[in-house]
Amino acid sequence: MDAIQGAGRQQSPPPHFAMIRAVARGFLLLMMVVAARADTLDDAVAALAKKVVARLEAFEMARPGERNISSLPATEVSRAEVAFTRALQRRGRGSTPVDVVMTISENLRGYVLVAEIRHASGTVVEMVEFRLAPPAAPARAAIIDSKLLWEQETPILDIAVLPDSMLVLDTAGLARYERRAGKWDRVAVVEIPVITRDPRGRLETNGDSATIHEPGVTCTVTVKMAATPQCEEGGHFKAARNTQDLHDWRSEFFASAELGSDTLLAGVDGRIHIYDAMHAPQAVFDGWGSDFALIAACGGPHIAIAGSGDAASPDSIALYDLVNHALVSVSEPIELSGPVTALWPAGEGAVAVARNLSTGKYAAYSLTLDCGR
Amino acid sequence: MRRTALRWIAAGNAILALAAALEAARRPRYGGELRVEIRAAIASLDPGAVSEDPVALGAQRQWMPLVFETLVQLDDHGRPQPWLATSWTHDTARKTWVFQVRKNVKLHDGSTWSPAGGSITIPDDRAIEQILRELAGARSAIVVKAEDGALLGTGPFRVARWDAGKSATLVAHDQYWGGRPFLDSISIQMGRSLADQASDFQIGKADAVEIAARDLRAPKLRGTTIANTLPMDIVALQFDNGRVPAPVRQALALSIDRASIHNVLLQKQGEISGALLPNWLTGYSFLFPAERNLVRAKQLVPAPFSLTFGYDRQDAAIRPIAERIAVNASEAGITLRQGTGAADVRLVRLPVTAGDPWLALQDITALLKVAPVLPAASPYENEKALMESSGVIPLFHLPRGWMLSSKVKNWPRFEDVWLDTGAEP
Amino acid sequence: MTFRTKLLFISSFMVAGAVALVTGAVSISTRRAFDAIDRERRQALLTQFRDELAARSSEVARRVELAASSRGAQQIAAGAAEYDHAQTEAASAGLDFLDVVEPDLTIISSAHWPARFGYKNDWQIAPDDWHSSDVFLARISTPDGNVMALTAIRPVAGGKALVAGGRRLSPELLKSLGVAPGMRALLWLPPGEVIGAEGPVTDPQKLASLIQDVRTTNREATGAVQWTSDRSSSEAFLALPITRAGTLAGVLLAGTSLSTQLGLERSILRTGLVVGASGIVIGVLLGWWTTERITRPVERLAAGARAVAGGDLSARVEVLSRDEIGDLANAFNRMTEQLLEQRDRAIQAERVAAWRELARRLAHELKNPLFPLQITIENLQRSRESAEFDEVFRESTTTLLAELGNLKTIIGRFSDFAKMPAPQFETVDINEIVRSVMKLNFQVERPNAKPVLELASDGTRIQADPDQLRRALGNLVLNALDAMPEGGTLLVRTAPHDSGVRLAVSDSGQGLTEEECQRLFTPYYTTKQHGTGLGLAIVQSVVSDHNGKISVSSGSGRGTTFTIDLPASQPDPLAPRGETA
Repeated sequence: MDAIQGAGRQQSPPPHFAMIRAVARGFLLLMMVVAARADTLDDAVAALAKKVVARLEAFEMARPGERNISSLPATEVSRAEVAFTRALQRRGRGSTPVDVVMTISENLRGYVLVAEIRHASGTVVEMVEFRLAPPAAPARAAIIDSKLLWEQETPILDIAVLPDSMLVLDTAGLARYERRAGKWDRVAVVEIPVITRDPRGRLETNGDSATIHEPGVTCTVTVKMAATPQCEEGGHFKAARNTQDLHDWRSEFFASAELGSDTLLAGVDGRIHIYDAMHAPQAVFDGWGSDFALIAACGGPHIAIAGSGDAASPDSIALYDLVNHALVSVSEPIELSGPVTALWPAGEGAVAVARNLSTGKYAAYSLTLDCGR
Repeated sequence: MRRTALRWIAAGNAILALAAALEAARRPRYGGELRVEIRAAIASLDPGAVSEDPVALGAQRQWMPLVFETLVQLDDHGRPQPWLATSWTHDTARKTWVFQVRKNVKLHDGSTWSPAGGSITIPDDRAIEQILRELAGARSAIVVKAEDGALLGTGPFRVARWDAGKSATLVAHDQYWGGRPFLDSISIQMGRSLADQASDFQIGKADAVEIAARDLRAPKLRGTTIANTLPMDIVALQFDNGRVPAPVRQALALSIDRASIHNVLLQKQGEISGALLPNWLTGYSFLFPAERNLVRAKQLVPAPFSLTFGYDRQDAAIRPIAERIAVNASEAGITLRQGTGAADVRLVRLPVTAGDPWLALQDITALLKVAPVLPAASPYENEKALMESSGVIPLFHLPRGWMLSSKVKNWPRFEDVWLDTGAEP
Repeated sequence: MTFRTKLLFISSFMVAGAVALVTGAVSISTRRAFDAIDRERRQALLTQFRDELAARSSEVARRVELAASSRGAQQIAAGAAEYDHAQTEAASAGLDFLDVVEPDLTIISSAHWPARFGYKNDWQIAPDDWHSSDVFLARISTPDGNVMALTAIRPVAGGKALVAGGRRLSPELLKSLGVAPGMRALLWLPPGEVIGAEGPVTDPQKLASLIQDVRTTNREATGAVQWTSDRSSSEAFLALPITRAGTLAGVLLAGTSLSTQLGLERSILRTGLVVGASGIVIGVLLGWWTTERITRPVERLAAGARAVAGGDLSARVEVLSRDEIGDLANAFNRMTEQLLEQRDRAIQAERVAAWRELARRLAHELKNPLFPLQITIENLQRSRESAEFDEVFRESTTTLLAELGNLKTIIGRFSDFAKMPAPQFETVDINEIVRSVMKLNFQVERPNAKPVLELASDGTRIQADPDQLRRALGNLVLNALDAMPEGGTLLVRTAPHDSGVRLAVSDSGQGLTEEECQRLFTPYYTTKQHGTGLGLAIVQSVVSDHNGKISVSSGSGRGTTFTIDLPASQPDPLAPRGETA
């Protein structure tokens, strides 16, 4: 099983295979974390040996045997086998040999050590379950031109990096972080919960004020968040939905941007639509995802589009230009650590939020373009 | 086994229904009706009404959580996680547990579910793991009876129309505490054979249909996705113990060439198993033997013996297995013949309905009408006793496969499923 | 049997016989005609069957070749197809059975029994046939049992696997044969299945012996089978062996229903019977009319003859025709007239003879006592002057008185005979009368005569006049004793006889001649030296008055037996004729 890849052109494996591979990757990472807590396995072996000894008569002596039918790494298996054999040998005594076969098996909860004590009168079974701790998060693969801004458990909707602070809009509300002693400390938080499936939100800052757009509600607050936000119903995002509705000719959509006289629209049909100045449809693209952001740098605006995947595979972001109502790729795609949950223009670049498939946390990235490459 | 574990953990993932925000590069679209067809004919989703038909019970267990939720739910690893209960504490004597319930949980009629004091007290001196396991079981789902007698739940969907055994429509619960589902509704056509389901899928009448386990490996049709989920099935021989002597039962089991059936008939889908519960659930299924021993079988039944053999002839997966078993049995001198009335031995499907051995065994003992599981004994001991008392000999574990149109996303977490109409061909 | 009846029978038999002959001849001709037609039809059926079988065999060969050369078969042989893919190939090729097997006959895929993959093919095919290009009959094992099929084996194109395929030998094969109405074809297939156009035959064991004949001799055989108790269910079969390489593969049975033939024969018979019966009726009527004209006069003649035989010589026959019958009647009438005259003359003569005999007997009887009377009177006349006249006078008067007494006795007997009284009937036991008579007659010692009584124990009570019976029996006993002067056995028997009683008196004397027997009952006839000859006449008179019969049997030296049969009851003299008392 290969670890999560960093750079590289986005492949398009068949979804079925991709799902299995991704899950396998995730599982392996889980197991790697488990290996960090090796004494759990030892405890399990010791507990099993104790149970086995309790089942032996005084005149019986264990003759251990082992087999592995699990995905436990070979090193762990060997360690377990040696420990088990030693534990039984320590018990000693008896002249009548009894075969004791330890099988390392597993189930969805973890691993199972099963001992079959094969007396002449019949076989007795003892079991011990144990679980390995999740592995440490692996070193993140580098993202070209992406920079991790913030990571947290609660889903991040948007993020704004200010000169001296950072505002993080998430499903719980808006939080203000200030950098102290090299790390971000949360100094203020206002609760503006979003209870919507596939929650969305947008944070716009303008000087000292910040405007929060969430489904069905728009709030304004100072960037210092000294006062309670002023909220009113309505706004860009449709209530209890994940779509935007600006109450104009566009009706409902996921994302929209003006490119010159053209309008780019990520429709609820999952396609990217291009309309001209007269709002006449000019082109439709499939498979480009529902999020895009305009990046003005390097002769842009270029369109950063998250490649369509699914919840179990990492997304990639690539740049495109609109040429004659056609999207033309202008950069290599970069792969993030998981599916993209938000993509907003931010200054000359963009902000992307992705859910880390291995940790389950939400990570916000700043995307900038290195024009020299 | 490693592959199996991963495969089944992948399947196990599918049962997880955490209220994590769903993410994809393609934003899910709200709206639409998911059209599902199933073989089972479910009489009711009432958690208290346990079906006696194995197929229906498995389906009931799959669909019931959409309407009626439990205080805790099992995650991908079978661990209880907070659900309608957010936390739990016990008294000093550890004889009473108090479960704090989630706030602002709305019932299907819009009223707020609010147990007195915002908590539920359960006097129980057993280990918390056992209590949580039971609370995660379908039988412990929260059901509120309305004044008109209707059953109200808290799940992401509510029952808008129920034609028992035939069809049902579940509509999104707009005020679901975990966020309104993407789908507007789910229509379920019940009692449809696999052939009819396939036919409906071909002509676009259904978005999700069941397929036989062996077809999980078949080349996909354009615009389809194949997935497998819990519940899964145990294919087993069930004997009428009163009529079939123990040596004959044993001989029949020993005569079956499970490997051929698995390789050829099942196309290596599922697993050969001598245990009721799959290894990915218990880790000890290898303790139950499943090898063929024709010599021993002939020794156990020295003279020709005849048994009446029953199986569901409409089940396209079961029928070829049954025919093959009849051929295998004839080598051991046992004739399996069709008969009228109750059969001496039946080839049946038993569902594995939960990601927890106890809960799964509970449903199986209810189906087989044998003594319930003993909480004091281990799952292994319970399973061993159950097989001995019920006259059941497991043969295979089969996944339940689904064929999905390409517009169906995030199957099978129904609250997260959405229909990508842009992907329609 | 009367002449009329005989005539009727004869005429009826003649008609019936003629009809029977014609009916029989027609039946035989009919049967032969049917047999001939059946033979032709069966031959035609056999030829048709052979052609049909050959055509189907070619078809099976073609289909199996098609299956063997198909891409699907190659995929199966290469292990690149589903285990039940043979079903698709079988359906495409139009075969009922298809097995794709390895060279060692391990089944790779089976169309009709998919579950047998991996097992050895167990069709009943000879090892050499696996590499033969023939089409043959084979027994195929299926989940529902064994069936017969036309089978061919072909190698899979480009591979080592073999395709064994076949089509069921179904009743449809027989149905496709164009059989004439009333005919059918059956097929016997080993080990014991018999199929017809409508499916398996329900009662095949009735064909067992016919089939066994063919199996034993390997030649055709014929036979008839009656399927039910109704004869019209009979069927005639021609059975032919179907062989392949000298081995019997089956038996074809061409059957013809005999119901039509039997129906026709029955119809012929029925017609014959109707015609015969009608003929008999007509014959009877005709005969009756004919005989009426012939037998009635004959019957009248016969009645007249009976009357004459019964003693009525005045019987006459009416003459109604002038033919032979009329002549016969006339002759009869003349005969009876002559008989009457002769009888009258005979009676007259009998009377004269009887009077002459009576006169002779009277003269004889009277002469005896008259001679001593005359001598005595002459003695008296001579001794009137002599001294012994008183003595002579006393002796002579004594002699005169004795002889006069004898005369009186003789005359008394004649008087008795002349005026015998009418019997007075009463119920008596004949045995009692016998005992009383025997007692009376054996009161005196008869040293040489031994009486023997054999009397019946019952059935001896009759209506009779006991006095007359005693008198008659007494006469017989006296006669019997008189017939045994030297001694002997006097046997008296009684026994029930008919509805009365039989009394027999037997002596062991010297017997009587035949002439004596005939004249025995003539009054005054006697064989005794003395006697009036009236005794037996009296006996006969008594018997006659009792409506009985008397007979005598005797032989020289064998004794004589008189047998009297008396009825048990007597007619009431006051009742109309025909009634009895």
